[in-house]
Amino acid sequence: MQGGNLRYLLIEDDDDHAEFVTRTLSRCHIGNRLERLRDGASAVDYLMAARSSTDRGLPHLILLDLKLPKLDGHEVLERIKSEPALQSIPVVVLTTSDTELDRRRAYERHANSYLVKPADFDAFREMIQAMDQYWRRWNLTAVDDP
Amino acid sequence: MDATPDPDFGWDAGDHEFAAGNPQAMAALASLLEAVSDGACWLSPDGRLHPLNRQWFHLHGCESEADFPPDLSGYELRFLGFTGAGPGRAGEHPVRCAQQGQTFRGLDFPLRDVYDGETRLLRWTSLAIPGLEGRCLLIRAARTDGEQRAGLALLAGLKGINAALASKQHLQELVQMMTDAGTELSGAEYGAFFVRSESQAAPGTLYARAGPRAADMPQNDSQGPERLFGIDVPAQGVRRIDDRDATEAAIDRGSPQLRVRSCLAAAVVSGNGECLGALMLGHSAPAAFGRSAEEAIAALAAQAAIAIEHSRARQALQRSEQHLLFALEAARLGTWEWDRASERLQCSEMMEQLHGLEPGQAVRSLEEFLQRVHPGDRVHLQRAMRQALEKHSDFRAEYRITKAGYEVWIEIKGRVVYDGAEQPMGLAGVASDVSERKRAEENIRRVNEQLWRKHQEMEQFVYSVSHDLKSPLVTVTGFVGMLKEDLAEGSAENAADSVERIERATRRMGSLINDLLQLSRIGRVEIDRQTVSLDEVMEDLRQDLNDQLRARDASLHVQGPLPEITADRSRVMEVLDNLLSNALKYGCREPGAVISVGAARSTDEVRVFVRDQGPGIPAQYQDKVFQPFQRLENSTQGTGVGLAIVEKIMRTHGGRAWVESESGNGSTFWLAFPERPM
Repeated sequence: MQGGNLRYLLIEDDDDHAEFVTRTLSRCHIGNRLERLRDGASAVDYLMAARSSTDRGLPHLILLDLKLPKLDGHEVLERIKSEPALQSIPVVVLTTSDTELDRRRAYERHANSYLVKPADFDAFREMIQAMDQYWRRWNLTAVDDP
Repeated sequence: MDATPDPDFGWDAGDHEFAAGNPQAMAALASLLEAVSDGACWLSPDGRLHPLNRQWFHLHGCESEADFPPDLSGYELRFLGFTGAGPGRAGEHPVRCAQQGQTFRGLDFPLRDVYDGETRLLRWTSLAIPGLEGRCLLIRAARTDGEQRAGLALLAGLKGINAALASKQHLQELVQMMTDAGTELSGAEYGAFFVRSESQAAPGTLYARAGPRAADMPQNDSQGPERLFGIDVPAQGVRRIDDRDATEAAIDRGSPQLRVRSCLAAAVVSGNGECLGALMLGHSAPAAFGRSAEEAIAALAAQAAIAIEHSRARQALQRSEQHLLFALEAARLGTWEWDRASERLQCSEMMEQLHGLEPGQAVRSLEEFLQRVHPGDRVHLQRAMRQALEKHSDFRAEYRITKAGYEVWIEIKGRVVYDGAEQPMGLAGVASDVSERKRAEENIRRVNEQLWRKHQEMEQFVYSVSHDLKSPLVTVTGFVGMLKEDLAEGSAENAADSVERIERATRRMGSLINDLLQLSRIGRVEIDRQTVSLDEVMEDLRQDLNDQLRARDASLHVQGPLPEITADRSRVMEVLDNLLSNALKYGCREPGAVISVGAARSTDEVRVFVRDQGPGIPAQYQDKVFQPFQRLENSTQGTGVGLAIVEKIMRTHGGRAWVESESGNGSTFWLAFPERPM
């Protein structure tokens, strides 16, 4: 798994942010695969379906925005972490909010990491690269490839 | 006729070594006799009278000795005219007694008084003089009619007066009545009552005047009874001055205007020996007051003391009751008392007023009273009272009642009342109307809630700045970086894409800032109420919407005529504009979509609706859509503030906004404007 390909699930309603993250991740490692969903409800539906499906497979890592239509990121996080088949997937919160309330609530719901999107191109890119490197190269995730 | 000394005599000539012809003994007797108020006279066996003092003449209506007939029969003829007994017979008896050395007692003569023309009884009593047996009788003459008749009248009168005094509550009336009674019963010309004020050592202030010559006394006098009546008030009992022997010229006692010759001064002394005042009775004639008058006045003064003390105590009690009543009234405190055994509840007038009861419709039992208490507070009140009885503690409770159609809050406080054996008898306490305090509390609670809501809005605002406003900034900075790379790589296509993203993000930032400012302004700017024609508003809006409707191939259908409402016109425009553009944005995805606008009037509000044929809003999101920055769809459409603005505007109008929707069946947004705005 070390240095291998990662399956990302990006839950992000902002198209521009999603585009930025997607482009940056594909520049980091050509083998990264990324699925993107626009709101909390469809993300939960997707994961619940993936849990029992053998062909699709669960993501190695979930990138979760907090401000989402229909079901916000905190609720999505809660659903993931309270579902035995999903709770082992690391969830990285990726949001513009740096309020203490959001941070505390995320960690209380067992977020694995909390990243604030920087309003700075280099910093944002650097952060995404570092994150990818950490989870892809150094970290061992719970799920093996099917 | 017995030979023993008359105990009523008051003086006993036998104590002196009397011998006729003994000049020394005679002088002693004369001086003694001058000092007494009774008349004294020898009766010789030959029937001749030998007056011994001046009082004898006065009592028999003579100015001087010259007027007085020495012969008893002559005396009889001239003065007495014995009724019933016949002339001579009454005179015979003393003469016979004198001849036989016997004594007689209580021989009464009716005698017309030369001073006032009144007929009074004169009583002769004889005393045997040792050593003169068979020769002489010493006769004591005293006015008895005044004493006897007045005495009887006084006794009868006193009984009535006692009852009357006891019923008099007002001190001045009581004192006046007592003075009147004393004056009338004693036959005095002047009656006066002097009170002793706290700063005085003795009674000094003239308080009441009475008698036929009352007007001769000064109206206000504070120099004490002595100056008017010429007599000191005794510390206790009654002092009498009779002035029987003084000539008119010799009298310089008291006020020259009054010329008091007879006087009774009675001290009015309380049970604990405190001097309350003095009852003064005066007469310009000498010997006007007899012993029984003196006794009666003493009795009257004693009664008066008791009555005055009672009256003072009553007044003090009344005063303190009045103070209490005033305090209760000023504080609008009702008082109540409940007796456990009889279940009776006694309420003060204020208590009844507080509970909106008419004086006649008093509640008499606790049960009846509890029926008037709001059902929601009844159990609580009953429990508080029961606990107080059980635990011997005080209690306090608040409850609602309906008074004249309004809800009123009452605060009740009470404590246990014990009987003589220290057993709890019931409860007693006060109650007051605390509606105002309750209203104030309610206001504070509401203001607090408003503040809390404002605070939350503020938090939401800060949150939105940290997220929604930052979000396009992240896009801008991110794609500006991308753009640089695109340009360096010479990829015109990518560069165009980046520029477009940047442009969109900046536009979104702009509209977000506008919306946020608009939202924050709603709470701050006063609404300007006026009569607004919804038809006119819709007409104005339709002109702005026409292009957009045409672009989406949608139509707007107004179910007119729409009613008029009382509201801020520009705010109403804003609300409807928001709802219509939402309907356009989310509800007109298929060509030929229709947006309907209509209104319905209910009893107390006008309801306006905007209906679309869009996908609808699932039930769980229907409340959420009115919160700021909540979006159902991807953030590229709208800022998430529009419906929050709608909700806030409706709230400031005292109205509300809500949505009715079913998935797949479109949404109907409702606005309710109150008919009578707050």
